[in-house]
Amino acid sequence: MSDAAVMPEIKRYTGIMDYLTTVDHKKIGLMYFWFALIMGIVGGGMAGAIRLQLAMPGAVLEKLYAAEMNNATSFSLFSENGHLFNQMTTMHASIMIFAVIIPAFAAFGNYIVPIMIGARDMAFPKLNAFAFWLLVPAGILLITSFFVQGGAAASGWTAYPPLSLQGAGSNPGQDMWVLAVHLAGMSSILGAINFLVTITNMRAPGMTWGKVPLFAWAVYFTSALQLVATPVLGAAVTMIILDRNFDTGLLIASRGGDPVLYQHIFWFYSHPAVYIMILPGFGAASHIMAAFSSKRIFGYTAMVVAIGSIGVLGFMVWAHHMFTIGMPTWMQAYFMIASFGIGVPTGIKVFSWLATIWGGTIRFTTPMLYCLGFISIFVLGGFGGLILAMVPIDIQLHDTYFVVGHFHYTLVGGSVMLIFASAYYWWPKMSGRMLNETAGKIGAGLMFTGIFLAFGNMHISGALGMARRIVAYREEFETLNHVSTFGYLLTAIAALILFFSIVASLFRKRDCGDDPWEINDIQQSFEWATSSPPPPYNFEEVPPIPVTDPRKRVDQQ
Amino acid sequence: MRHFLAILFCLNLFAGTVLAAEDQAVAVTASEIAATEADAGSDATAVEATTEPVATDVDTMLGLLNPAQDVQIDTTNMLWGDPVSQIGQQIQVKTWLAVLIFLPFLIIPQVLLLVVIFKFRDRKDGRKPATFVGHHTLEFWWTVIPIIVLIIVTFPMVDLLYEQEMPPKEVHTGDAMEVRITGKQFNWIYDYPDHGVEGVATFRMLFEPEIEGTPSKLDFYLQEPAVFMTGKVTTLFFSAIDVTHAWGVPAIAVKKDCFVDRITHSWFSSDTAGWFEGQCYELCGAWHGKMIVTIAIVEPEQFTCWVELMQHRSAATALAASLRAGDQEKIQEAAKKYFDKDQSQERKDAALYWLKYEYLAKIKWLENHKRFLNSEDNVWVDGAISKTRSFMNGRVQTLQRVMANYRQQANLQSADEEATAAAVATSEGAGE
Repeated sequence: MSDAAVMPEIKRYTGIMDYLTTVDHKKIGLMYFWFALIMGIVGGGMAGAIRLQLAMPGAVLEKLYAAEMNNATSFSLFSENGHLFNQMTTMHASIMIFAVIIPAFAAFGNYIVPIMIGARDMAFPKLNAFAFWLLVPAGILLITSFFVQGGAAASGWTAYPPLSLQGAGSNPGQDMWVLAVHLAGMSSILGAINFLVTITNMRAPGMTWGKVPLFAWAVYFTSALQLVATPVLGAAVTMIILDRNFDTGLLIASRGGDPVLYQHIFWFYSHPAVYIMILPGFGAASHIMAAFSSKRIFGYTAMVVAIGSIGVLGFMVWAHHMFTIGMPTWMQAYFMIASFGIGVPTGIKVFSWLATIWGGTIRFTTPMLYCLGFISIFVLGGFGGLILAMVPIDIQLHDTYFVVGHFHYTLVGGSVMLIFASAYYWWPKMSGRMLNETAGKIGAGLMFTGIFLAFGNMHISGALGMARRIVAYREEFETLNHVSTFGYLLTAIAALILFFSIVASLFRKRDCGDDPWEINDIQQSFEWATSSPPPPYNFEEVPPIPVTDPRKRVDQQ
Repeated sequence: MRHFLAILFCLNLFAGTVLAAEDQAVAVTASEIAATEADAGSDATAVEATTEPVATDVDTMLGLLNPAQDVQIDTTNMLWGDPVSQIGQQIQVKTWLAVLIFLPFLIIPQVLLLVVIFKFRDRKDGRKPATFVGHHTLEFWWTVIPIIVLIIVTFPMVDLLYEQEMPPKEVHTGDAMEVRITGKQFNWIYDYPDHGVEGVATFRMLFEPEIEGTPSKLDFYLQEPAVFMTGKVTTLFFSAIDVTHAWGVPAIAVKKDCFVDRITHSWFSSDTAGWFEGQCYELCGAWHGKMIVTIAIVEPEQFTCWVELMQHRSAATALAASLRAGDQEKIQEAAKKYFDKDQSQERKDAALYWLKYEYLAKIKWLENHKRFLNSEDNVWVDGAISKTRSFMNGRVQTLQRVMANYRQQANLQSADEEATAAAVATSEGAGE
């Protein structure tokens, strides 16, 4: 019998194998980030294809007919192949939602939240890794679906039956889409469980709920939404794959099913999904705007309650996406009024952000510029949403470009701008290198202008009657579409600036201190109290809570 | 904050209950009306049957109902167009009202942002930033005022919603016209059960290879309209054949999804005549964007004419096709079959109408799209138009000659028959 127990040699990997086998939340966060960035370029490229098509002469119906009559080919990408165009719109949306925005916020959540609450890692590190790796086959399925017989799914990211049931047996693209959604959804749910447990159980001693940073609160509520809503999406798309491949009639009226059933179940997830995509951004915006005004966030409690309200209310309004299905009038009235309700907590947040920066000393760093642009555009997007909530008006605007303009204002002007802001804000912490400020500022300006141009006039063309998901439009919409495409170009340049800034930074050496933005004496957030990047397991010992009560003024603790 | 949430929940429940109660009241009234409808029904049909159709002037009808004769199709938008249904006008008014009411909330944040950017930027002059983290009065008011504004907006919106969705009383008293709209990939089919008109389809492909000087492949989307009456409440019933579609026309503020094996419905009424355009508003496949809707709202007498023309349509278009074929024997045969069946004036007008319809539609289409069609090296549209017109005139002359011929023969025949009948009568009379 030996006295001393010998610790077995723990195999430590380096390089690629390190990343393939890691359970460290920081490395997993980085992998989520790169995944989102790369898929963002793919999805953005598809957006480019769509906008290119809609700016070409062949997208004008009159010119298309003229070319047909002259036996010429109309100058366009997709006017001869409407099916391929529908694949573009479908996959652009699916990739952006499931493979870019949600993973991007998962990236920052994974990297920053454990550090922020003083934990050494997430509660379930292996589950964390699993949740990330589920995304990789999802992304592969989405991209390779273009190359199978019949092409990718082409029934919209909403995949309404019976259109999504067509081609069953001969077009596996839709089935691949369903499987990708399942995998991405699973990733989302597992990540959510992890965050909920981590934030509940692993806060450093002394960090009461009233001292939890707003980004962590935002991720917490987002995770609750993901946990409750995503299984419902799984149910919805499972019905599609069953009807396509297993001869069920769940969504086919003549067999006793109902296509409207799918719509209800799908939107029961997809409305909370849009809040899943924005709430973490709200949290990050609070941090960034407070940091660069040298102030503490205004109305901490109200901010937390507002996030919670938005989350809860978000479950009660799904049918405002379905006002034209022929639902009873009292139901339309209920969903209209409930949708109005969400405007109130959102308004509280916007006013609180404005109050946060009021009276501060504002430094116009790139993250701050992105956040200011976010407020400007998001307010407009919310306004569009309020208009759409009004049923009589929605009858005119449903399935027009007004809706496209609205959700791109909130998603690109909201979520994407906040992802960029978070990237510029936290990349120095994650990599130890600052990103080029000049390029970043130019990018912020370009993105703001681009979003405004690209999606602002979509509100107009939609109100003028241009339908969405059309490969060609009537002549009166030509100029508006050209302007949109130009706006897209500006936005794409801004995205590329971010991408190349990040890549270029990797060629510099790590020269960031703990607090490169010099904000932590007021911010008092753990991530700025440790090195850039933080060491493995974040903290040698349990950190003392420097955070004072955010509900009280700094000088009145 | 939780009080605020509770109030919000209660408001939702309250609104729901009130509206459900209202719906109950409507349902009760509807069933009462339905009970008396049985009595009123027979009267209504009697009224319908006694309306005399106005004699058709073929060229007037072509002017009104030919998709492009001299008519400007109005794509009327909801912002600054002229919606032609009363509901559409109310929607427009209330849209601008809503925009006006919400405008402060739109502008104030932008203005505040600008103020903050200029006033509070870090001028590196050692100014200490403010330290406030709350302000109860401000927070109270910026919560309450939006709630009040939203409540204010809710009332007119709910009223308009009920007015828009609830079918008006004409539906229950039998004064409404029913039209069934079926969507399929990638066009629309209209049926008018009240008038026995079926299968009006909204696009036809036209091949005219034998007209020299026009491109050999002439397929384009001729808009056959769904025709409606002014001053008449029209209930629309929607369905679909293959996938989900949605029928929408902004000018009359109608949009409804069309589901397979399901029926949805809507209604509208307009006092303004005109042509209006819409399209399919639910992704339905590769050519979703080409699924255009055209409607024509005409005066009641003209509508009756149109119904008459539609009722003779399939036979008349078959006759017109035989005229295009050019074989004299076959033309005579087709004309005989056509006129033997029914020699009414409406039938004769229908033959002329459906013969001219396609040519005139094509001519006007070419005229309207001239600036797209002529290319730099190939200016051909004017030539195509004049050729089409001369072909049309030639065929019209053939038809008129055939009709005259037929009338002559029919007169001779009927003279024979009269003579025979008279002979029989006199012989019978003589026999008694």
